[in-house]
Amino acid sequence: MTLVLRLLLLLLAIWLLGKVLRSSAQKLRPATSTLPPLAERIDAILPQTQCGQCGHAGCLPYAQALARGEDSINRCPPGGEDGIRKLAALLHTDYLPFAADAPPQKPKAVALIDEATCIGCTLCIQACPVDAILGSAKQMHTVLADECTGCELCLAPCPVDCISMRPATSQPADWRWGYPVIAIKAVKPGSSS
Amino acid sequence: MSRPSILPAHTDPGSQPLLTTPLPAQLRLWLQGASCCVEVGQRVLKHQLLAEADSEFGVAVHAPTSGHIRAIGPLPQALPDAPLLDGLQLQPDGLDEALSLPAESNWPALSALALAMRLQDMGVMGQHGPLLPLAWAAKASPLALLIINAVENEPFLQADSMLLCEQAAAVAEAMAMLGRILQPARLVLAIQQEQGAAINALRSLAADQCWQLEVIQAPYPAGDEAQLLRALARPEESGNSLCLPVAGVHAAGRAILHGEPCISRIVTVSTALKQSHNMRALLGSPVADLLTCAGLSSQQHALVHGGGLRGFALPDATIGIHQHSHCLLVRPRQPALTAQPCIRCGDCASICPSQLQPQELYWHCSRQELAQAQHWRLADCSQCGLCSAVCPSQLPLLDSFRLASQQLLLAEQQQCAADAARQRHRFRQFRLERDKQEKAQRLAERAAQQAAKLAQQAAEPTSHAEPTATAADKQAAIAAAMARAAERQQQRPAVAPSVNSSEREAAIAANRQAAIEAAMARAAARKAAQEAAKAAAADAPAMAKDEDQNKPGLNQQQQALIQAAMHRANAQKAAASSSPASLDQDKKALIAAAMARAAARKAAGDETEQDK
Repeated sequence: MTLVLRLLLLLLAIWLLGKVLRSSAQKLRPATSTLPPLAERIDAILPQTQCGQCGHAGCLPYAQALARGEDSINRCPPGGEDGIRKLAALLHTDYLPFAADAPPQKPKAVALIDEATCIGCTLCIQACPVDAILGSAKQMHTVLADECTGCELCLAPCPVDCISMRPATSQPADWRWGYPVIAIKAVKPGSSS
Repeated sequence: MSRPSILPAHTDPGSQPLLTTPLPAQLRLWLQGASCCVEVGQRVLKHQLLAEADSEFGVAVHAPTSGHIRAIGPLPQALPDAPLLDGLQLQPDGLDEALSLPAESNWPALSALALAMRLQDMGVMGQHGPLLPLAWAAKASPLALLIINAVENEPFLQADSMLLCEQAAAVAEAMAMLGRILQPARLVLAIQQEQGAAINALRSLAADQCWQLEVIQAPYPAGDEAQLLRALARPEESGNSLCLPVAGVHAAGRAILHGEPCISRIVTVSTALKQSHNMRALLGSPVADLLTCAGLSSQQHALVHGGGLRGFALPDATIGIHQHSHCLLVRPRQPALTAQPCIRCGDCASICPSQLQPQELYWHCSRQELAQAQHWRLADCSQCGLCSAVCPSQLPLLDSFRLASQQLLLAEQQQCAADAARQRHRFRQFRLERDKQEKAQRLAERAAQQAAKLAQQAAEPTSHAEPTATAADKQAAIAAAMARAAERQQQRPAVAPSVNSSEREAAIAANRQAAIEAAMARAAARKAAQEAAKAAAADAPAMAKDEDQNKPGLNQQQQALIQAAMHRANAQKAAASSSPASLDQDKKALIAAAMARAAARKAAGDETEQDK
């Protein structure tokens, strides 16, 4: 009798413990309703160059395609490998190396208009996805370097090829501490005991 | 404090005189945050403005002595692996002719912002940019605590102590001036216990002044702004306090009270184990000149700029000193130490003033795991360099933390830039969509106006058909002609059997006449009318054919009726033959019905005849 009673008590305890664990797990899990939609969270990781190198019309369409599971995470060269890692962490997938057909990674650059050659055709202004080119018809155009994302979309439409990309890290303010160098002592083979 | 005493005891500069460097052969001044306002070859006088501050964080540059501008262009910076920075080279002429600048006679009337801008124009620099940050001065909030920081912020440093010993009265004057203008609730001069000579110099002055002397007993990183605030600020003051370096305060006093811009600073040139020399050097003096003045040669020694713990090696002894060059450390050249793996001794953790775990931080920083490094409170690291100094494995802890902090900052900036780009892109899309909608709306409005005008003009030509009509009238005429043609086509099947050929022809002729009249004005109208007329003409023979076929049609009907009657008669005959004694009454009735039908048929035939 006591054995049966003990078994019953044990089962009751297990059931109670299960209840408590389940309710606490529900409380601890982040509420999915408070998070923004998945596409928005992916878009927050993407570098927002709006360059279209992923094959989509911009960063948000790529994010939406990723959220629907229609594209792979390794198609954004401006985001770099770091971006792929972040996307993999967000989407709970494995890290992927860059796609073989994706364009190569480039250092950040900004467009520069050769103002002597510019004929004022406004084609680059229409191409710029972030409105970083200033000018009007038959007037000289110029690039707002602070706003330029380096997407290179203005290069193709220019009829006189007066736009070139310049590296963005040549300013004195862009100086960074160097990577710490660790001296390595050469050890002769056989000398180590 | 139970920290291991790895640091050398502070040596008081009291016994040594303040040296003055001889006039160097060339001065190299950087133009960071300043735009040059002199030309190459121009002769400038001492104190003359060479460059104006062009940003919030820049300060003006003044000529340290009289001479000629030899070059304006990129110069190497006093930073490891830094790109060249625009600067100017001034060749002194040895005359030291000074421009007499007026002192600020009415300085008590200056506001905080006016003082900050005046100090920026006089080239007085603080920790970051101008001594008084312009953004802070523009807010003009009442100041609770003003700390004048005279604590040396590197172990071998004596520059601030030397300044206080030599210029105690001038510093006190400058502090009184700042206290008068900024009106802080509490004005404190913080000094370290080891700086005995400076304390003695100040004690006599602090008796009847608006400021008080605070002697700090904490060890090395006590000179940091955050550490000082933690030590001195009361809880209610901590959010509303300012910390200024004493060298800057002294320069501010000279600038405001005597009209002398900041053109020199005191530099400690120290050999780590021997003695150190303090010298007043003009800004822009080459490092090699300072070493020569101290009796050292730059060929035999490795140079460290900025103290033993936080400093970095200078590649070149021709680099000029700047406002932040408080210390030059000269060390015998020695082979680089080799780094060993971390042995988890925990020395770094026990000496860290911010209570961090530098070995964990180093692990994550060296693996570029910035998120993890942030989790281990990398942001709290004051980069004092103590962990690197005590590490028995000679790991580059400080370098890793500096790099990782900068990478975090860079990532933050990139995120800000990405957010701005996203906003601009979305606004552009919104703008394009709005423009498209506005254009569509405009077009719709114009089309509606056109339609209204057309309808108005369509009504007009029917009331008075003028031969010389306007373009709108012609359009209306075309519309009317087309409407008539459509009406005719609709009417035709219903009317065709009952319309007389002569009437129809007359109608067609009238229509044609009307169409010709309406189409006389314009070619298009005429064409439409011709089409209508052609259609009408094409209809006419078809109707005539119908008319011809009407008569045989009637005959066929009659024949069918006759055939039906004959069938019925045959059936009656058959019935009669099958029942010879058939009822006469029935026969009579049938004959009467047949006669009635025949009469009716005749009547109908007469009616059709009459119709025709």
